[in-house]
This record gives sequence, C-alpha cells and structure tokens, in this order.
Amino acid sequence: MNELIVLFGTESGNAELVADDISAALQEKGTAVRVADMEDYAVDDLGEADMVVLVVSTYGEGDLPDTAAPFHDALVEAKPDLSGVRFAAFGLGDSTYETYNLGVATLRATFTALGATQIGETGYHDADSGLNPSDVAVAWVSTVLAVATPS
Amino acid sequence: MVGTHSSQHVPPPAPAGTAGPTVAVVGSGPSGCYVAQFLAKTWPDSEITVFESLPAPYGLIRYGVAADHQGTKGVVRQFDRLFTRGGIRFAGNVTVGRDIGFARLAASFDVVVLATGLPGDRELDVPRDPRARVVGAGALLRALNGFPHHGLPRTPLGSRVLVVGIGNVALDVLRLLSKDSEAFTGSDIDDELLGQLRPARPAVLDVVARSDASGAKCDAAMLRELIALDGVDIGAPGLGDQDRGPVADLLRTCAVPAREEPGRTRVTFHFGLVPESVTTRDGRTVLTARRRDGGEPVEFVTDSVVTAIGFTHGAAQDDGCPGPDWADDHVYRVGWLSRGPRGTIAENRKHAQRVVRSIVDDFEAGRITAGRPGFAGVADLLACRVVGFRDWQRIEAAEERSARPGRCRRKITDLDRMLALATGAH
Ligand SMILES: Cc1cc2nc3c(=O)[nH]c(=O)nc-3n(C[C@H](O)[C@H](O)[C@H](O)COP(=O)(O)OP(=O)(O)OC[C@H]3O[C@@H](n4cnc5c(N)ncnc54)[C@H](O)[C@@H]3O)c2cc1C
Ligand SMILES: Cc1cc2nc3c(=O)[nH]c(=O)nc-3n(C[C@H](O)[C@H](O)[C@H](O)COP(=O)(O)O)c2cc1C
Repeated sequence: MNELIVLFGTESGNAELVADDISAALQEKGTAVRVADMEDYAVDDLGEADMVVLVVSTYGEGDLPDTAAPFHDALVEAKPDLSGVRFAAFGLGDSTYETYNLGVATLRATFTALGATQIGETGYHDADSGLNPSDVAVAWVSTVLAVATPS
Repeated sequence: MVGTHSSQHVPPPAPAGTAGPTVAVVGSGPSGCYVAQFLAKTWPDSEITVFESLPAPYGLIRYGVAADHQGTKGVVRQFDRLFTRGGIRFAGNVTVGRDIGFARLAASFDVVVLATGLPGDRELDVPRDPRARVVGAGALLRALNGFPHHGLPRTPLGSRVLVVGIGNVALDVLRLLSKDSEAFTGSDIDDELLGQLRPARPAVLDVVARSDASGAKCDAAMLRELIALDGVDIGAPGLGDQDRGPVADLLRTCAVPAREEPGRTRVTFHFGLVPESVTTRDGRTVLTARRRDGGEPVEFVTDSVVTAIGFTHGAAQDDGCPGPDWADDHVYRVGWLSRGPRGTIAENRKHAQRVVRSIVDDFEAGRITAGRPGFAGVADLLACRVVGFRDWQRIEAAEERSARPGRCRRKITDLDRMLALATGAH
C-alpha cells in the first residue's frame, strides 16, 4: 500500500484524537499515513489515496458534525468517481440517542453510492459505554487492515 | 492557519531564530483547553501554561455537565493527553487575580488567554422574599457534581419543586431530580448530596417558561431522555395546536392526564408565563407569574424554586473575576467569558480555533512578539502552591479508588483533602 489517509470529522474533538491514534498505530506497523480534517480536504483529492479511513461522529438528530457536513455536501454536489477508492469507516456516537451513529452511516452510504468499496465492517464507538474510543478504534483498524492487506 | 496544518500533520515551524512565544491560559475549562490544544499544534516550540483556580482541571466539564452524562465528559481524554504527553503545564490551585496579579501575569507571558467562564447563576429579576427558598441551577448541579465548596445547597429541596427556564440546564435539573438513585449507574453523582438534597424523588416538578413551546431552547434529545425515565409522568397544559417544533411535538405525544400516584414524579410544563414575584406563605415558597398575553396571575406554592435562566460573572468584588482592566494587546478572551453563557463544549472548540487563528495572525504580523520569560517569571510566587498535572492525577486516582459500587468515581469535595492528596501528604 502506498499512502493511507485518515479523514476525520468532529465537533468536540474526539474523532480527531481517534484519527491521530489510528494513524500512530498504523505508522508503528510501517504504513505511511496522513491525517486530515474533512474541513480542509478537497473531495477531488480522494482518488489519490490508496485507502481512506473515515472517522466521524454524529450530532443533532443524527446529523454529521459541523466540520464534516461541508465535505459531505461537496461529495453529493461534485459526485466524484470513487470507483478506485477503498475505504474503511469508524463512527463515534452515543447509544442514548435514537439516531445512534447515523453520521458514519450517511457518509458510508454516500461513498458507496459514488462507487467506493468498503473494506471490513464499520467500526463503532458508543460514548455511553465508558470505553476509550481510541482503544476501540485501534483494535478495529487492525482487523480492517488484515482484510485490506491479506498476507 | 490552524485548520490546514493538521491536514499536513506537520505543524509549520516556529519563526526562524526565535523560540515560540510563552503562553498563559487562565482557566482549564473546555475553551481554555481547546486554545492550548490548537496553539500547541501550531506552535510546538511555545511554552504553554494553563492556570486553574482549583486543584482539579476542566471547569464545567467536571462540575457542570451532568454526572449521568459520562459520554460527554469523555472529551477530557483529549485534554489529559495535552498535559501528560503534549508538554503543556497545568498550574492548578492558582487563582489569577488573587494568587498572582493580572499585571504580573501579563508582564511575564507573551500571550495571555482569559478563559475563566461565567461562574454565577443569573438571578431572577423580580421582587423576592429573602426567606424564600431559591436555588440557582448552576449551584445545584455543582453540588451534585461534587464541587469543593461549602456554600452550596445541602438541605432537601422538598416534594414540590418549581424550575424556572427550559434550556438544557433546566432539563438536567429535571432529570437529575426525577431519576431513581439506581438509575445513576456508571455516573459520578455525589450520592451524599443527592441524598441530602433529594431524600426522595419530588412528587411534583413544575416548569415555568417565558417562551412558548416553539421557542423552548432545550434539545429534543434532552427532553426525550426525561420523558423516557421510569416513574415520570409528563403534563403540558395549554400546549396549543399552533405550537410547532420538536419540543411541542414531543410533549403533545407524551402528555398524560393528571393523576397522583405515590412514588411517581409529575413534571408539568407551563409555557408563556412570566415570573412576577417570589414570596413565602406558611413556610413555603410561592412563585407568582403572569401569562404573557395578560390575564390573572398564576400562583405556584412550592418547597423550592430552582432558577435555570443563565449564568453571569462572579461577584463584582471577586478578585479572580476578570475586570475591564484585564486587557492589553497580547491578552485574548475565549469561551463563555467572551461569548456569554450560551453554547456547548463543541462551540468552545470552534471559538478557540478562531481565537488561536487571530493570535497566530497577530504574531506573524508582528503585533505581538516573543521574549517574555513565561512560567519562569512567576514561579517564585507560586512555587509552594501549584498543583501540577501529576499531583492532580493522584487526586483523581484516589477518587477512582474510593468510588462506591455502580459509580465511576467519588469526587473529593474537601479542598484541604484534595491538596493533601496532591502533595502526597495524605
Ligand atoms: C450546568 C451546566 C451543564 C452543561 N452541560 C453541558 C453538556 O452536557 N454538554 C455541553 O456541550 N455543554 C454543556 N454545558 C456548557 C459548557 O459547560 C460550556 O459551554 C463550557 O464549559 C464553557 O467553557 P469555558 O471554558 O468558557 O468555561 P468553564 O467551563 O466555566 O471554565 C472556566 C474555568 O476557569 C477557572 N477560573 C475562573 N477564574 C479563574 C482565575 N481567576 N484563575 C484561574 N482559573 C480561573 C474555573 O475554575 C474553571 O475551571 C453545560 C453548562 C452548565 C452550566
Ligand atoms: C448535542 C449532541 C448531539 C448528539 N447527537 C448524537 C446522535 O444523534 N447520535 C449519536 O449516536 N450520537 C450523538 N451525540 C454523541 C456524539 O456523537 C459523541 O459524543 C461523540 O463522541 C462526539 O465526537 P466528536 O468529539 O468527534 O464530535 C451527540 C452529542 C451531542 C453533544
């Protein structure tokens, strides 16, 4: 694999911390990783990465966080061809909300509709569980990458 | 720019030939911690100190956000990381204005960011009998959150309680008062105070709001959480067909006719009522209100009134409260202190991002410069009182060790004990 990009969308910063920790865990295994904020990322650049890891929380009534919404709108608007893109998706939510982790579901559906291929199962963190989101995410990403890079 | 550097993940280098600026952040609530976080990413070479009055960090995340919302409190993991690995200094138990003068601080640091929040409850601006039992929501929630202060309410609120306001803080009050003790599993509620303030769930909780249901400021999710509690019956008399929005829709579907059942809590929402006075009668507290559209005054005879109508500065004579003279070209304000008592933790992150951007712009444009000594310039003053992050972690470890069954920690509410634990002299 060439480069892997971890894209995060956050409102209170938890997803950014998770993205940083996923990146650190992957770098330790020798993968080149770049972390980017969806807020600063042009959707046209998506084709450049070999693989994209999406890390995003949920706000409001199942909405994407503020920093991810423009990114998502741009995808819907520009409809880039993502058929060469492989992605994995991790959501941060809170199961006390009826709209548990809908944010990541929205993003995943859009990626898939634009032709991208999802690798592995969607990962979830539930803030109500008391678990550390980074622990959950790092464990998740290693199983996803086992799928992505069969040895 | 703050935003783009993270996409490269390699922060821009500090200007050639200079060490980064020295930064003092006053207040360790979310706005102060986010500022420290963004600045540290932008200026990895800067020396950043976060001053905090209490030996414990994180402001209203620790002492405001309801004890049964641990998911929200989880944001502190980011900030823990700053202090344990990010090279940022926590200077707890230091009140700027009291333990160190503002002028001295401003002379010692290249950048000063004031993030002291708004600690006072806004008071109901109506004639009030001093014997009436009126409690501010902030004080009540701090008490239930194990805040180390003796002046907080401790005696029972009674079986009929009236809440003024219908924002998210009012909803926190309603939920915490009407939840069974067993339903606090996993929280860090102060069980002793909960038992004192609320030996039993109130039978009647009345909510008085100026706005109509369409104008209610609370999130629907918060209301849903209250409605879903066992043993709670909701009433919303006077809710009209013209009332729109998620709050009105929710209340319409869940309101049930009044019935008195022992052991249950009846929560009744009254909209469009403007409080006029708080008096006492036969030892009880009476709130009189008038419909916004006129008509006869309405009277609520209660055991106590909880006001949840916003927050303000501390007392004017409080030296730890930034006055107008706490200002200079290199002094910035962020969070509730700057924006007023509105907005979630996440909004403070956005605000911190903007403030950091203007600090960096000012520095790059030469409007502020580096060269002041930073913490070394104040260390002699504070040496014997600073509670550092490791010291705080000793307090935290003791809180976690002494958690009761079903609780995640048991907050230490005695300052002297906190300090003894901090110094390892317990
Ligand atoms: C009861 C309540 C419940 C809330 N629940 C939620 C929630 O569930 N979710 C959510 O997103 N938001 C919630 N909020 C809003 C959130 O708490 C605020 O948006 C946020 O805390 C404001 O951050 P701040 O950093 O400006 O102030 P604060 O959090 O108040 O932090 C200020 C800090 O400065 C310190 N300080 C003050 N003066 C000095 C001094 N002179 N020297 C040194 N230190 C000083 C204080 O001790 C404090 O630690 C709640 C607010 C309240 C009041
Ligand atoms: C106002 C608010 C609304 C939220 N709405 C939802 C929601 O609808 N569904 C969900 O699963 N989580 C919801 N959450 C929980 C957040 O997704 C969760 O706290 C997450 O850890 C935040 O991550 P972030 O810091 O990266 O934004 C909400 C949180 C807040 C504060």
